[in-house]
Amino acid sequence: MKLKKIVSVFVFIITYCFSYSQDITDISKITGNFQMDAQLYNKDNVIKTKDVPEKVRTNNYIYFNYNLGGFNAGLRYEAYMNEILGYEGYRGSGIANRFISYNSDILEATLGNFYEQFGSGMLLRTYEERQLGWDNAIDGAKFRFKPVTGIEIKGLVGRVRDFWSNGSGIVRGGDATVSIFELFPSLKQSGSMSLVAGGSIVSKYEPDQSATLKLPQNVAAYSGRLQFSGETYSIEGEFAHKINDPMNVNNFSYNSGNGIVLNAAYFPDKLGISLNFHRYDNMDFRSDRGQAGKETVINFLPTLTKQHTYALASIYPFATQPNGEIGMQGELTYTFPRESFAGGEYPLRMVINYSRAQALDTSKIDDFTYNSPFTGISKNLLYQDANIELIKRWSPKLETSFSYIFITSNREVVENHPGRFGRVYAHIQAAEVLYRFTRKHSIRFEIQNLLSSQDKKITLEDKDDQTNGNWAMGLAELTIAPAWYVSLYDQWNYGNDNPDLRVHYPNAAIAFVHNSLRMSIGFGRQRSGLLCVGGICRQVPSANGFTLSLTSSF
Amino acid sequence: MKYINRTIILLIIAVLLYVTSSCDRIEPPYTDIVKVDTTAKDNDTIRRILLEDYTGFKCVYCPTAQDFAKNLDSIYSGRIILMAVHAGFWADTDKVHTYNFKTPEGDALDKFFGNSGLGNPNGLINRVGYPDNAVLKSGKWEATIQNILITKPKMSIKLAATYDKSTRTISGTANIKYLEDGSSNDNLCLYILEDSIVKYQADVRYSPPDRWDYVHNHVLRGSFTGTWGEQLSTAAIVKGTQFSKTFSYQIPAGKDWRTGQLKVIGFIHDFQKTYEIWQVAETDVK
Repeated sequence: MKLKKIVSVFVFIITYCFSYSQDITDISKITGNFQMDAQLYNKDNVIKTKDVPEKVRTNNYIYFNYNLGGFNAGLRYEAYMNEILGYEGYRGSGIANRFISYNSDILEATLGNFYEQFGSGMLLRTYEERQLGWDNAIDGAKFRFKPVTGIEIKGLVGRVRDFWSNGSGIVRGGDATVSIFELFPSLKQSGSMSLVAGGSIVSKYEPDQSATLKLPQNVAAYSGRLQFSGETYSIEGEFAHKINDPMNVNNFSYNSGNGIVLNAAYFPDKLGISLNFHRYDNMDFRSDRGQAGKETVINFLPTLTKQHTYALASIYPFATQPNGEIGMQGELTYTFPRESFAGGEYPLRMVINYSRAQALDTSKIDDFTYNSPFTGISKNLLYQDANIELIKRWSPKLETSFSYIFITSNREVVENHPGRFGRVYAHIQAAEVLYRFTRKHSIRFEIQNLLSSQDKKITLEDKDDQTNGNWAMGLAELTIAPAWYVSLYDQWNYGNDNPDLRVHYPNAAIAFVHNSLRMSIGFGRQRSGLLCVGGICRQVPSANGFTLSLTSSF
Repeated sequence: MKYINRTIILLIIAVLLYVTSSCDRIEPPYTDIVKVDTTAKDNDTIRRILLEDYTGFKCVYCPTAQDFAKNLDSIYSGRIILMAVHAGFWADTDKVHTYNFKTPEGDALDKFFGNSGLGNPNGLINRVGYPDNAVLKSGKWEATIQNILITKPKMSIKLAATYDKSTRTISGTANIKYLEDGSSNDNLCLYILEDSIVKYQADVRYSPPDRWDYVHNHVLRGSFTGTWGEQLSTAAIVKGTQFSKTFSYQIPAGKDWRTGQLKVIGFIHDFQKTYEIWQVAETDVK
């Protein structure tokens, strides 16, 4: 009934607008997109796939947006029939997102569901990432006000999406950004300089219904940030503080939370250097203190590790540890001069990257508080990634790249497996060749090898813990632009501790693209493991079968 | 510039208002003095609550939730009945951990409500919130309990159970009295629980996390009535109706249950529709 009412109102508005005036129809437009992901599951006892009685599961999304001048109205309908494995919690169908907004040069106002980010997102970032089954849209109201050039003020209130409902906590927030050089152009030394200052405050309200603990009903967090950039450099930093926020995730700690993020980059011709640092202490921030995982999260704490594109390098990803982590990353990108030994017509490009995350050095004071000196770094290494990539183009048709990646992952922390694995040490080598026959036809080959050891051998027949030992992978991808893409690959866990699991994970896929339509069909085995984007992860179970993906926009 | 100044001043005022009105800094002690009326223990007048804790002996975060449940049991003494259901991946046996806590009933409940799929530990509080919001993390248990405690019971249940050593049989009686009108959907479920099982449990609070002498309490062992119970009446039940149901269960050979630690719980729930538990009772096996 609710759906019918909303659709009726939507259709009425559109019909009314069409009938009102031919001029209106001329300036209004409807846009949208559609996505369908389907998976057919075959039983595979070797990789211990889950039983799926339905055999086929699909996730479907359709989005409509109606625009009339400064007004926008949109809705997104989602149908999980039933949800693809790994998307637990989304079963069923309904309108997951609907909004109406008004935009002008100085004001934007939205009622309904919306996404927003303050600063780096350390206090507030709501977004949708379908790969992760992540959607923490806020249902409420927001405004964005630009009184003069160089000043932007944002405010919002609402509840965070929690699968098919909203969290019980109410989120309120405000943010101000001042672009100093836009406000005072006379201070500007050169055209590309930028100096931006900002501050945010976010507060959540949730009633205290505990008979045992004194829980704060209003928890506020605030932050300040500064960004300075020129033609070849940028430097930025943000500091955030959160008052006592006892909740499920931090074991009801009454410590305040702190976070600091520092980024610097220098990028003259042929060279790029970036340095990043962050420290998070008790910075999990969600509207409902009883929730865990990805439910009702308000903020976003990105990881400082490289997002590898090679499949074997992503077997051991890193997930940000909001309860306590110090992380750093440095990256050097260098293109050799033409006259040097690695130069020539197409000079060699080199990318060296190193990142590291350590636990905080904390000590327990009592059941509710702990001591956490700002400079305290624990000896507990959570994650380390040292990698180098060499990219060389040999001719207009031929390009190669080689990567070496060394990862140390504390799986006990990253994947919540205390006492199971210890640290994993993974050496990954990857080589890639791209050959372009013509402007439209190309073929790409990849070979990858992962050599790993870990502190503790897998001795358990754990269904979801079978990823270990050495892996090899080969891939061939044929591109017939702009319509056809065909790929074949095989991942082989040839060094698994368990001889029964030294199996192949072959896959074949074909994709067709026509204008905004993209359709792909795949068949093969899928290994279990973590899928991470920006430090947020989703457990992907092992599977065997067909996949179908269809996307289109209009 | 006047416009800018006015805006900035308004902004500062707004921020100050936010800061001053949106912070509840809590000073020690962090615990409240608990004032819960636990004097009324008559099953005729109070509605008891079944807290089903979906757990697993390999789930490192589950002991924290179990302690949380135990704490609630002591606060709301006599009002809460606990049941631990080992289910899902974290309750699977392996070469090292061979003791199987799983039961067909626990597996069926887990599959139906989807607890382990959403990540243990979590629980059901009288199974309220089905189908979308029944599975609750431990931080949400107490608020749900408080909402249920203020409601009146639809019926009273009185249980008695004895164990016959010669036949290895648990038998007993459940006496039910409807205090309000009931429905033909009302099913009576009778489960067997066991206390004080000393077995392995993974616990994140310990390093290494292996606790080989962990005491597992109120563990679901089996059922007299299958997973979903038995229908009390094919017609609507009128207020004042009484039922007296007998039950018996022969402990299968090979089970290592210690009969002195066994308990029977009985509850009536709305089968087929809301699955909400209306009333629950517990008795030791004597």
